[in-house]
Amino acid sequence: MARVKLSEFRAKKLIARQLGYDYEGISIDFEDNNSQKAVSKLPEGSYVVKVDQATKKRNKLGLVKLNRSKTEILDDVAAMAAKGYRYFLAEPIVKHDTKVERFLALMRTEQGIEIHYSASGGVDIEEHPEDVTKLIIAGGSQKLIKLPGLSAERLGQLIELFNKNHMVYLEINPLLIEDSQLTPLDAAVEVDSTAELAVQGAWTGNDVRSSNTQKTDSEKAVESLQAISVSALTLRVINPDGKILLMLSGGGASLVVADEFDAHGLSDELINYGEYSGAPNEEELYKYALATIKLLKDSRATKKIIVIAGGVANFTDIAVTFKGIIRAFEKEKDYLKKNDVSVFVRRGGPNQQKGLTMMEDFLIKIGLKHKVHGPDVSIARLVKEVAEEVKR
Amino acid sequence: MKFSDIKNPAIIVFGNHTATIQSMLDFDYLVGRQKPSIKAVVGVQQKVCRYFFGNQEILIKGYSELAEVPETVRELIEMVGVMQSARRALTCIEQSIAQLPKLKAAFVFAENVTEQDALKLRDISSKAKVAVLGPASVGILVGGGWKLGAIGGITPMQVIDSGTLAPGDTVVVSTSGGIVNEIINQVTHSGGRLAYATAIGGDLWPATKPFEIFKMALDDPEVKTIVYFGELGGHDEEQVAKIYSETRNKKLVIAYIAGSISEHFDSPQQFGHAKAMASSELETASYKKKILNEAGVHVADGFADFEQLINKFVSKTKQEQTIIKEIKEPRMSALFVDNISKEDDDGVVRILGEDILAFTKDRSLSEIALAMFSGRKKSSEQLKEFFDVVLKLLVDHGPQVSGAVNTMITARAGSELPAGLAAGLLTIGPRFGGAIDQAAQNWFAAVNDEEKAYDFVERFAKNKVYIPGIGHRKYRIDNPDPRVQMLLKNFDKGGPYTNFANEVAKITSAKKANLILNVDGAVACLLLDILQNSEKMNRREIQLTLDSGFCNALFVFARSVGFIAHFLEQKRLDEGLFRLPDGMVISEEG
Repeated sequence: MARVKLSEFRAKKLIARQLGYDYEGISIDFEDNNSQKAVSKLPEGSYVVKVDQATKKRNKLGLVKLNRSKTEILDDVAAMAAKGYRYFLAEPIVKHDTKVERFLALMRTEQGIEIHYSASGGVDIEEHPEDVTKLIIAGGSQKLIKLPGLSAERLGQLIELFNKNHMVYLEINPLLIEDSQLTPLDAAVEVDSTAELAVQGAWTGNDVRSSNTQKTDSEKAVESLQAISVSALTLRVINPDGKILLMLSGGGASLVVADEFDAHGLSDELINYGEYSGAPNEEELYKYALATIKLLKDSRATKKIIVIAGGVANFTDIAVTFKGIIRAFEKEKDYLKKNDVSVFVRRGGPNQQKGLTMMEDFLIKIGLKHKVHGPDVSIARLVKEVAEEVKR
Repeated sequence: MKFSDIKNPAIIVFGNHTATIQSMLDFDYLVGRQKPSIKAVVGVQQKVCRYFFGNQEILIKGYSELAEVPETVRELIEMVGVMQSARRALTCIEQSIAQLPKLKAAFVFAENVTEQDALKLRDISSKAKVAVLGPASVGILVGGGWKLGAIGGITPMQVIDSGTLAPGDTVVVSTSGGIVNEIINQVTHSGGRLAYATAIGGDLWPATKPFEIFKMALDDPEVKTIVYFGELGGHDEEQVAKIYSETRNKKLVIAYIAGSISEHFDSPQQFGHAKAMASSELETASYKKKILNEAGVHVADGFADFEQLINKFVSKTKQEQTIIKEIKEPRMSALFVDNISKEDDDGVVRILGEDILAFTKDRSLSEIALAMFSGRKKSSEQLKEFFDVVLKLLVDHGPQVSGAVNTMITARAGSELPAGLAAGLLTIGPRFGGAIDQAAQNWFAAVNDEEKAYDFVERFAKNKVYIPGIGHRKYRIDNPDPRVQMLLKNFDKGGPYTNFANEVAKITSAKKANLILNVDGAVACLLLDILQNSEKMNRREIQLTLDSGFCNALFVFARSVGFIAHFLEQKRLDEGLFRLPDGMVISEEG
């Protein structure tokens, strides 16, 4: 699919394993009692506790607690969880001289791996761009490069770590280097999510973090649906009180439909943006449609419209996917009828005739206002029809 | 390079993606091509893949590996379509570049190719100067020329409606595979025709970037209009704008960049395609539209506007699309494939393509059997001679063997010849007559796995099973089987299989004097050597021959003569129903 962020915990585990030492931090999932038990097994000592879900500016937001005793960890977690966070990290604090803090970042580019390094790193590195050395290691190059304070051998290990785990971005800042021993105080990693099978469990979908903390139940439901599906299913809320619910398909066509609403000045009326593609099955579409219809029900708008649209699919079976949507409509038909929801459809692809006829017959049967089109009607015209309906 | 320079491509497809392959063949047929462009399907277990060329069913050769495709075919190939999994995509292109000297273009259909593989793909294809579209591309289509991939539609109706069967002067460049078809339809329904259309794929690192196709089109004097569809994310359009503002060959360019919806979210959102995410202002749809506009491109505000711009500005062509050939659906598939013989409409029977009289005129019965059993009209003198000798040796082995006994009992029970022959044949299997087949499989596997004769013997000893082809009831090392001696004397040319079998026999006969190479084992190893050295079969062809049951065919054919003879004689003697005498069957209870 795309690039995703790993938890700091997993990033540090991977680094430690590559460099040959044990990482002593633990990951805490606030919704999982077992991970809280892990806290009780920690030795006495002084700890850092922080939110671990790809959140930027944690220090500024007060999401990093320093010098905490073991017993304070869970209190800190509870306090931060109250702000809507779920994943945390606790690790022994590393006492050090800020003068030995360095900055290192690796990123995958077309030319190779781009390395940014500064021997005088630290959290305020962005204010000193002149200190940062930039170099590129071309793909497959075995040439060893030594940076001030960082041995060629250590850098080579990090590059191996980067490639082996299909990382696309690795930032360690601050990075402590003492006697050729590397300690990452903070680490941010992005990986190529298409490589999940290739890394054979080194990291998994469970290690992926997104900074979006305010997810609706529907978004969470689609996320867990996606987690176990080989197809692609996404859902994001734009305006919870909008009038138009989108069920889109196909990477390019979905964007085009949403844009077209924007061109009509209706982006604020969109409840959501959501796509399905890659030939999902009937059951997946049924659950997906139910999750999106829940958003429609929660919307406080008085006029409600469902738009099922996409391009001409190359391989997604229209009859199969529409069957799933129809089942969800059947389940929610009382609500849909009572609230006079209208349905607009435009879709093409394998089995389109069967799928479109089935949809139209069903909408006639339960008596919903509708327009059902095949690919002979353009996306632009469908959106125009919906726009007229909204304004009517 | 120009796609339109490839006039009559020879294509190899990786992965038997039936709908796509059929649509490519339909396109070939509809533009009036005499022969299918697709010469082989690679990465499949089937030996032949069934398709239609027009209304006629055809067979396209299937291979599990590219290297198995005959060199004479490989050296013609100009394009490949890769429709195997993401995991295989890079390897397919690597092998194609290495093994197809005329390769010019390719597309990779798989989604979810890793970034590292995609970057390597771009690297090797640009070094080899092969235009690779994808990953996640639906292909390339040259108007009136050829279609590589699902692009343009997958049913004959979609292909015809797409208006792409006549050539034109408009180029479509699109990241999206779904939208490319929408644009093609808009272009042709507005009176335009395609020079070509390409689906780049929405990945982060496409092997060919949008600006590269854009530049190709700009440099092509035959192209008048370029229609460009891009999305938020990445920096391709900065290149497009730069190239366009610097060029002197201004062609009409109509562009649309999708993704303005992204600007309504608080934080950057990842959309369906991997590249579709704007992490900075420079990657937003609005910025891209702005710079393209400044460079002089007709930029659409929305999709409706895009369609109107195409309608208004696309170069109108005089090339009408006339459908000269028709595809009638549904097309019926044959139930069997058979290359051995056929009866023509005029009643003439042909065997292996030759009139039966001509085919049989100068061939002996064993030569006819060999040709028909192997499906090959020509064989080496060595194989013909060996086949003939072995058939003769196998005709009979006395009345006591299980098959002959069965046949005789059946004859005496009053049944007819077919029943008697069948009763005998039904005993042929692992313990009677099937040893040649088993020995051949064993010798073949052991030699190709480079197993040592000693380890081979130990393996059987450890599992407490006899080695097929080794051991005889009567013959011993000091009293060898004269048939085996004759076979080895005439046909052993020191081939690897016979050497191996002899080594095995040396070890086993040292353990026990009667564990010598028997006639089954000798036939098996000599046959393998002849197939490899005289018939020049490769490993896959030999395996296929063995798996088809060729060795059993030898035995069944020859021994049928014996069974029939025993049957006929029993009928002539007519001794009445056979029953086992009392006391010939005992039980454990006594």
